[in-house]
Amino acid sequence: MIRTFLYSLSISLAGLLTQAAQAQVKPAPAARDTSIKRTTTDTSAPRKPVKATSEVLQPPRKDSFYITGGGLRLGLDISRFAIHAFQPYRTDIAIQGDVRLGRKIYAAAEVGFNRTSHSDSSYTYKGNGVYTTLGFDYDFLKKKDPNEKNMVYLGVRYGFARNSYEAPNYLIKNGYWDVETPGSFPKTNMVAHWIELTFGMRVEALPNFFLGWAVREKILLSKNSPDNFDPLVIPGFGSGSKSSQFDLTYTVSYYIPLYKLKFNETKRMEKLKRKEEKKKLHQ
Amino acid sequence: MKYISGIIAILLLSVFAACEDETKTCDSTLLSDLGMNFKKDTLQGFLVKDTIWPKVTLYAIGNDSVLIRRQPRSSAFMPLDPLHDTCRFYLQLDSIATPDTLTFRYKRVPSFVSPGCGFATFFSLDTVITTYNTIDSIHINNREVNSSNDTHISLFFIY
Repeated sequence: MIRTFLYSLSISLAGLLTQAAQAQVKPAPAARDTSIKRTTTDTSAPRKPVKATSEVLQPPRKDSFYITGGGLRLGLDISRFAIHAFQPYRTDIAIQGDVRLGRKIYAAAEVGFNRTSHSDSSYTYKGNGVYTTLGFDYDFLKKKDPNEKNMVYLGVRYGFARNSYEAPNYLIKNGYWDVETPGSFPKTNMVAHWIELTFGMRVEALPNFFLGWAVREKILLSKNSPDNFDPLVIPGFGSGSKSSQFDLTYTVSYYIPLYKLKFNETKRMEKLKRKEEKKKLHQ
Repeated sequence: MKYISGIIAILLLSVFAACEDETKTCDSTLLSDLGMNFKKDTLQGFLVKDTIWPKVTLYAIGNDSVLIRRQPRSSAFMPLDPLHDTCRFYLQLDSIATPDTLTFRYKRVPSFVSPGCGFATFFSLDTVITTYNTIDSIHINNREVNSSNDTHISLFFIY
């Protein structure tokens, strides 16, 4: 029985091997006249230029894109409430917002309100005003996930404030002449322009809920307050008697998804490659 | 990494500086006094030196209190009258010298000095008139009398 089985197995294996060998060996040409003969007419097909094998093997190029969400991030600057603790005469409210424009670029804006009220034995001061800043942020955080919304940014802003203020009463004392001169300064309107440089970060603490801080250096470009009466506070800028001002903000914000952004990744990679090549060439 | 603590410290200091209550401290002087110094003129203006007079007496005419009484001085500060646009000062430079009278005409400008200091009266000098008993000549260096503690006029003497 076993003998019969082994016999049949050996036959089948031999058969398989023969088939394989036949497949490898080309069939022999048929026995006929193989001499080259001249043809009277040219029957050959027009030749096409032969392409390089590597090109032929490449698949047709397709740019790769990725789509990510864009939206408005709106936040409240809670550091303004802390400032009120240090400078009780100031009451500020600031709302910040930013929208993504490109892969790294965000448009950023801030609007706010300031009310200043101070009174001591020498003078009383009242003022209020509004301000706005407009500018851009550049996010230089390398993201693992393109949908990640965290950012570490550098930004530049233009600031504009409109303020109205007055000193309802003041008292000037002069020891030598032994006189006290009372007076008042009427309501004065002023506008101020400044440039702001900012560095900060925004982190998604909960889904769509962000915490962020930033440091800002503000440089006053112009103000049209009277020479003899600077405002105590320029809304959004800070001290009315200084030409530059350092500031820190801490913002709690919420992200509202509104639109989609499509980025061409292939083009970006090509650009990077070209840059690297250029660098290598320079080296 | 080793610089991070330093950077954070600088940032915090800057933040505290930015949060400083400016109404609490008066960092500029409120004395908007007119500054005057004395110059000795020799060689007809070719050599001018500061000079000290041994017994200077100075007070505003019409005011009982004396600013300087027989003190050696090379300069003096005079508070201008904040209620009028003119005032006169009596100036005697030495006990044997003939006294002079200085008359100032000016405009008064109430000005906000700083949140901590409040308001002060600044002056814009218009005219200075003097008698020439001991004084040889007068020169106005700066017409704006504010809290900058400048020397606004120089009195020249020849002796």
